[in-house]
Amino acid sequence: MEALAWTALFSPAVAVVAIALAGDRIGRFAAGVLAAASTGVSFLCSLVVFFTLLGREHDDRSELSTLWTWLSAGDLEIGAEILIDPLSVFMMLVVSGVGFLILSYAVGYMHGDVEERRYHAYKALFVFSMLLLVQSGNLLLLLAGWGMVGLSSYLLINFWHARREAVAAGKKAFVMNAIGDATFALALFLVIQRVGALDFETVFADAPEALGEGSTVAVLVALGLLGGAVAKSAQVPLHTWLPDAMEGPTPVSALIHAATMVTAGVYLIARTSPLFELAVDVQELAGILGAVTLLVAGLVALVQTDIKRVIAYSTMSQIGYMFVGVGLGAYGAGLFHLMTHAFFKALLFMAAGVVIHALADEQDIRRMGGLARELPWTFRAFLVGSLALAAIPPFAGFFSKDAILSSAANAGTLGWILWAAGIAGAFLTALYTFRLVFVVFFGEVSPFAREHLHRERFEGPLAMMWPVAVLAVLSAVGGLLQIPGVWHAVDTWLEPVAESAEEATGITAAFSILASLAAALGGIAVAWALYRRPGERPAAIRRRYPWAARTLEHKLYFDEAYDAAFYAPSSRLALWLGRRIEEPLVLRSLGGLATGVRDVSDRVAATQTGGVRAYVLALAMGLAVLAVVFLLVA
Amino acid sequence: METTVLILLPIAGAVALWFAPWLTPRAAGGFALLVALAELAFWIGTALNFDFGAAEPQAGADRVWFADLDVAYRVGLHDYTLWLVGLTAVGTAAAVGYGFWVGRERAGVYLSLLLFLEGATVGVFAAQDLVLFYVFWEAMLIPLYVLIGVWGGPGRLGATVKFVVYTMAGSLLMLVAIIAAGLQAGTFDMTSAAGRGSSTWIFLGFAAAFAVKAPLFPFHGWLPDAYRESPPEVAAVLSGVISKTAAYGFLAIAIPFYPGPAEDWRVPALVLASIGLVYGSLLAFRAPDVRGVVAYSSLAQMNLILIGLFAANASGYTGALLQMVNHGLISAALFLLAGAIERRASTGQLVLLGGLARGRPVLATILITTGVIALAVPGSSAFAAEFLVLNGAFAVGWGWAVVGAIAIVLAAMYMLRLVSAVLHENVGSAVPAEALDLRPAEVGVIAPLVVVLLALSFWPAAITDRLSGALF
Repeated sequence: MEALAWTALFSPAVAVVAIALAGDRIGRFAAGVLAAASTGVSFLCSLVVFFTLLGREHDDRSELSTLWTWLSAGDLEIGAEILIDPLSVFMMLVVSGVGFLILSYAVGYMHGDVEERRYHAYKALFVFSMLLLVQSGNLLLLLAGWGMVGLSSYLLINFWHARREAVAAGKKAFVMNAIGDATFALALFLVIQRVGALDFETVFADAPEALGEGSTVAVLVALGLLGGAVAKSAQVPLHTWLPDAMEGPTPVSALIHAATMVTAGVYLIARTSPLFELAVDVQELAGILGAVTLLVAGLVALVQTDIKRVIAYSTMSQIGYMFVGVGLGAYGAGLFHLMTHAFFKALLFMAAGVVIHALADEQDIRRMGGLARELPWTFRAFLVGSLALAAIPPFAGFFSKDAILSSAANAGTLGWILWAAGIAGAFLTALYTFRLVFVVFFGEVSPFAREHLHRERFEGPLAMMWPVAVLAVLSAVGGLLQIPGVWHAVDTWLEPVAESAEEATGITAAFSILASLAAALGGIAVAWALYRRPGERPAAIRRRYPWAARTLEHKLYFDEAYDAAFYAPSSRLALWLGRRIEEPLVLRSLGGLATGVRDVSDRVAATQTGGVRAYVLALAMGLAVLAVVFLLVA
Repeated sequence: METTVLILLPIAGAVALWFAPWLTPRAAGGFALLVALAELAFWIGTALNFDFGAAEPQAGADRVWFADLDVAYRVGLHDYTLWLVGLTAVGTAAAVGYGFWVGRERAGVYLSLLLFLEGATVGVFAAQDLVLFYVFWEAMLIPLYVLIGVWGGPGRLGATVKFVVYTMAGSLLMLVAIIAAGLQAGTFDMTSAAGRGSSTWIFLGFAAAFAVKAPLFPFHGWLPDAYRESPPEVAAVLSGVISKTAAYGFLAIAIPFYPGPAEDWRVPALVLASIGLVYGSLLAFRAPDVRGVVAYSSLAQMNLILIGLFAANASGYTGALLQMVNHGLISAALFLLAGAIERRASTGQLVLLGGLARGRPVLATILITTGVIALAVPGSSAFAAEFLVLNGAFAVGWGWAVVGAIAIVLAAMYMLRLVSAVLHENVGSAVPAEALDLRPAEVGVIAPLVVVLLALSFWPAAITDRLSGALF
């Protein structure tokens, strides 16, 4: 089993090295297939590991496997080790499974791009990093995977590197994530100081005593980890990189969002739940940030016009739900939503990719319309994804979102506040999602679409369509894994690692379900009224509240604020240091010393004229001076 | 014995080249490369037979030089110096290979100077006698002086004078310190306990030389010019290898011999190093040219190493040592890449560059790989080292680690700026369309450095596990 888990981890890495070394000796298509196949191998291995664990006793499902010592210093020793337990296997299945579908889709989507091979290598690197993140057996390797995921996303976002926006977006994503890495690392220093180790087992066992429940240290550790989680998962206030990241090719968006990278923060909180439970305030803060994010993202998504950006904001808001879940200790519900979200969000991105592909790379929804008739299967897939996202039963999102909301309804006053935010978010989600559906697929075929639409036999290449079909099925039925009051497969599976908080039952649960359903249906109804056919009403609303539209279009001015608060000052400081300190003080004044020495020696050298008369004169003068000195002293 | 060979082999090669001016540049280059590779091979052999647990210097020699003052030719290798000697061998081999390929004027003399420099540097790391240490220390300066002053860029004279005046000022203070220390103890033997002292002035004398050469902020006035005006392979050796002799000086002499003063001066040193780390990073972020970015990032990294050393605990020392090796390889690779870029665009100005990635996959891959390791992306060996250094600093006081954490973010900013400005966006006005991808020879020189870095990323404990308690 250990060998299989290691194979799952390294299989994509092997593909990366192979593609990089092969260069153009390997075909583009072959490179894509190799990358996808390596991920497929990971998925198969994960499946076997999963069934092996399933066959074991409930509390015998955790195993640590160390291959070598990765780093050491004094008493500190950190192994290259992986932890095989229900949580990591759960994540492995999601990452490698959805990753496999996305990489297969990418073979079709990227077909014909000049640098296709590089792209496939990056994708495989991404999967490897993500697997390292979820499989790691200690906090340092988790951080390593964490950083490498950020690196691969940087590489993928600026894949089309001739585009200025893509390059800027990539840098922004990396730097935002580096902030999270930095706070993460600081938390680890504290853990080392108090516990003296970084492997999960020791840390979780010793933490209650070494850190102390509710102590300042525990709070700081949890805050540091939360900083990492917030940056990686694009939660307020470190979220601004994510919408920009849409500059990358579509499967990038799918992989970054859906399956993997942005959900890493949720995984981190679940994984380190013993540490967060020592600082409940911080854990609740995670929930609060999640609630704020889901509202902010929901609002901003209403006015976006780029199809990928709308979906990106919806990702932010759905991860907000997951944060609410894990923030309130409902780990099972949070991770359940992570999984269903992986299905339907990947589905939405891929279906959007088919649309973009069919419309010659156009992403602006204002130029789309009436595509349901032209791309009927894509429309159906997109509709399934949208219904799942809007949490309409019996689609997957309904069950998982409901699990989060009904856990919140059982978590006291704060829980009810977050619950209310969640209900408001459900309304917004349905509204912006179906705005997309109606604008893109309903009404008359737009002039732009009529002109540019080119259809292949299956609306897209076969390589792109079959992963869409698989995901559509998963989005439709994936929610049945956990049905309130009937069975809780995810909660039970994860219980040995992180015990989930109780959900509400009975009348409260029913109320919660009805409220969220009403909100979602309300959202769809409003979208129907406003966007069913191109009309004047949205524009009229905009004219009536210009400030609101402007604020939302500027994404609540986060970018501008950060520019003014951090980037501009540090850039100015750097220039000022260069001009006022480095040049005049360090280089010239101390450097002036050097040139001074040279000038003096030049002058001394100039006295060596070779003229005997001058030398004799100097001698005589010297003698005279000496004579005077002697006379005076005597 | 092996240590003596490691010192003398490159020097012998240098002398042979010096006295054979009739050799064609090709023959001279081939010979020099052969010597450099032989040195590397010999180092590998030494490392394979090395006893990593021992506290005493190994593979050494001890011949009386002048007995009345107890000065001797004492050399030997500790486990931590073994790695630095290895870095010297790798860095010099790359530099010699690159110089050979580029084809400098009077190639024989040029390469002979590089080899001599290698011998002197190994001598600095291996010397176990203070006088001998000083001799090698000064011996490093001579070839550098000539290499920059004769083969450098248009501003080479100013750069050389600055470099020499700065380093001489430091060295002279160190000479005084060495004489005082030796006479006080009655021996110049570095292995004897008698060498330990508590004199603040002697400590500061040593520290002056090391602070200038490292350089510690604000003693870096010589650095930007020297790194910009040298030939790329000399800049590679200078920032990659030579600067490590200074860090080694702190690690092996100034701090352990004068524990009292080192403790007293720890906070001022940490303050300066922290400023240097942030200051260097900020200037790197705004530097207008490729070498400027690499030069100031080098300043930042050396100050990071000094933070680790002055943290003076196991984590700090181990991280600093690992980072010395990492930074040596990174910096050498980056300067050679800068050379490759300047050859193609005939400028290093970032505004004139861009778009080099298109159609040049090898250059792009190697530059990006080196760049992300340089910015210490988690998972890289530079990250492992940085993590240990800051962890060590954290144990001294959390504030130092917070400053370091800020520098993590700044490093990402300046390195990505460099990578993008060279490789991405629109093709720069100075980039000719016919500029070639890296040639096989360039790959042969630079790729091994990157491969070693990747291997170390996979297994940083290869070094950290092989440091005995001699350090701490």
